[in-house]
Amino acid sequence: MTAPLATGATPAPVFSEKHVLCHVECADERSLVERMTKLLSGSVSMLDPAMAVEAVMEREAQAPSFLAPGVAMPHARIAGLERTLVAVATAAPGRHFDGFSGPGAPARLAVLVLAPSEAPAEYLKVAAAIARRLDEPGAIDRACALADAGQVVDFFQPGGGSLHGHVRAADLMSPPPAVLKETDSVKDAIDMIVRTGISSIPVVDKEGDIVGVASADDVLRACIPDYLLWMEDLSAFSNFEPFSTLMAKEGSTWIADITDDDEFASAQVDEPAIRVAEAMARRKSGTCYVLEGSRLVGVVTLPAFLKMVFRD
Amino acid sequence: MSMHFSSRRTVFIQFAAMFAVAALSGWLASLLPASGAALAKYEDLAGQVAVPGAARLLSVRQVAAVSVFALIICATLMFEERRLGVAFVGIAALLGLRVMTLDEFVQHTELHIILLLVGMMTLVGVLKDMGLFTWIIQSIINAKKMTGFRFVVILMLLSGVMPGIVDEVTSIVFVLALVFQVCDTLKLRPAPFVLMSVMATNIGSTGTMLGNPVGILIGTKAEYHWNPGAPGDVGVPLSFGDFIMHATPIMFLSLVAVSALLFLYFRKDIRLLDERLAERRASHIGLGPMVAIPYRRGLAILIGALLFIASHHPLEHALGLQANTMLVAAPLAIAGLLMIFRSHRARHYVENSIEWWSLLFFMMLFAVSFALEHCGVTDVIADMISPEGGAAPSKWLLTPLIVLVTAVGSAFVDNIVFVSTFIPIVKRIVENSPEMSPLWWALLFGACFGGNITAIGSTANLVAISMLGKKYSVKVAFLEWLKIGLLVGLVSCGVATAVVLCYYKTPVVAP
Repeated sequence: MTAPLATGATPAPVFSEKHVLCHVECADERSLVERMTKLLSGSVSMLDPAMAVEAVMEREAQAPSFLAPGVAMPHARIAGLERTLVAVATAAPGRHFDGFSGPGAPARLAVLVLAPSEAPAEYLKVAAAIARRLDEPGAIDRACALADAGQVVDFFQPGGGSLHGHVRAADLMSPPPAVLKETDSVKDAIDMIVRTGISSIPVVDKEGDIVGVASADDVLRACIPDYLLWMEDLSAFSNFEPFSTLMAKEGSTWIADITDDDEFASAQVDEPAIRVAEAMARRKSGTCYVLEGSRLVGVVTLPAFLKMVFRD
Repeated sequence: MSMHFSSRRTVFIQFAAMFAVAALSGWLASLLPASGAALAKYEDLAGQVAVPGAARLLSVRQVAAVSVFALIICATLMFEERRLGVAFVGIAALLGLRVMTLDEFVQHTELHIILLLVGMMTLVGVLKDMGLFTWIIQSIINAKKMTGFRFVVILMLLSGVMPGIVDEVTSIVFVLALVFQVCDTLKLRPAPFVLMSVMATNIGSTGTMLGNPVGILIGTKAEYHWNPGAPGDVGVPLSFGDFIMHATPIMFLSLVAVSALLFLYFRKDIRLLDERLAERRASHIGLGPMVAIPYRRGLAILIGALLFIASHHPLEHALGLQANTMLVAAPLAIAGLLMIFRSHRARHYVENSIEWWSLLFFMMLFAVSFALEHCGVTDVIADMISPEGGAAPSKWLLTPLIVLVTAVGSAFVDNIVFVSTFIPIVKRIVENSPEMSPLWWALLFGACFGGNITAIGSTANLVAISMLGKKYSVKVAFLEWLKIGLLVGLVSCGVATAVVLCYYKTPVVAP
């Protein structure tokens, strides 16, 4: 029995019962990856299992891949691979995989993905599909409780969790690390920028709709507007005089008074992830805000985007 | 790929249209009768050529000059970025076709006007560096008890006066920085305030000789008869003082009339500005930082420079110099001294403060205008309007006609193109009928006020639109501009025509 992991126009990566290990016990991460790779070795002609294991371990050494607390997703991009290969392993009930410790909880479910390096979206599609399937409350527990490989394959079949033919903006986003309210003052904005080290912070209204972005650049521009920069040099203001006006009023100046109306980079949650890249490129912005209607639901930063596309 | 193809196809069509217009203009020129004056000039230059042959040759030259002129007009209309290239090619063609000699070309690029502009642009670069413009903007932004009405009055006055001191392009860049700061802070739609300032700038650019290259061109090329018909009366160029005495009052009258119209037209935006300013005042928050800018040296340099330039006429008189010599020498001397004292920035001023692109285009254009004059094309047109030895044309007809034609022309083509072509025509009319001298003012106001009619009517408009687009991604629709531009054009040209008509003097009749 073969379960398609994806529907849509693109060829679906597949895994079958022979690619599933249920309730296994492993001494360490490497031995689990070796066992899972062995399951895949017969699937395509061009796969060198030893090389694949090395590639996965090298990737894991850079940063362990965890899809969610308890779900590890060791993966690698292999040059010349014909198609994406997936293997799934679950730990014995009440146990977890030794050596797989990630954020929140040690891994109980492992999904090994070997993707062709020539197709950057393939890994992201699989990761997004599995993440969506495991997004439901208790889904990880249910998957780990399954004792039969066929049941595991069924679990990941479409229907339980729909799979798009493309990676969506939602699949790349993470929760906004900092948000300002439109009723906040410039003081609040500067405090948050200084505290978080984030230079652009979204501003939302009481409904959670994004109304703008407050940035460190806005603060700088409020203190040093264009017409001050006409002067040959500003060394006459060695005591930061241009900043003193705003410093005296920062508590009583609304964020809206210093932010400009420039549109920010945004994409809708269900739009293809390429829209995220497009929005950032068009707006020359390092952050794309992911929206559901006008409601802010997540952010994608450029470094995170590049990591997902080039390195994950 | 298809977009690229479509863009190439558009360029091809535009080029085809441009050459078609040039060919048509050339054909029309070939129908013009060769002017007697031009024929005589040609005979002087190439005495061995018989008159019938010269007449035929002259016709070829007329065709070439008119075609190149039409090419440049089309290039200005369709390819702003290619107009200088087209002008270069046109000049090369005129030289190759012997329409003018190399010496004539060099002589008629009007280097003195170009150098005057170079001097003024350098001065402006220094003043910007020294914080003078920053200080003015800051003073307005942080003025106490500012209301919407007061702000717009200040904006209109500043936009009207600044181009007469610096040039119109520097002025609009400077005034728009003020507009953008206020609109950004108060979250207002900038387009109405941009339109108000750019229209006041175009009007203000007529106030002095320095406001617009057109003013400098008219001032230096005019042959004005102050006492037509009186013994010893000769046509003289216009001075800085003449502009102050005659052009500035018309500029102010027009500015007041246009301001009233714009207040009415943009009353909703001004009301909103007023409300937002009141809110801001209530919370005791200014519109920008307040710092002590060391502006005094810059202000002293500006006042000194203006006084020096304004006194060019008495200085020339005292030193026995040719008219307008000091008008060119003063800005050059000022710029030179500033570059000596600020040698660390001298290269920056020359490379970044001077609009070489425009200046080179002006030089080519002046030479093409000379070619038109040299071939007798402008003489033929002038003789049609005011025949030599014939009755003087009616001021009631000719003044509005010159204002109208130059205003409509300048609404679509750079006004300097029209003015440089019309100068020989007006010169010829005034030569035939000295009492028609106020036509020089009609030419000035028609060309500058006409620039308000469309979005492409003046360099200041193009700069403003480009700044608006870059900062806010806002485009002012052609029709949106035309709607208010036509009204402003009508009102300002109406005021100017009415006052210029009062400048005519009855010629002294010899006893």
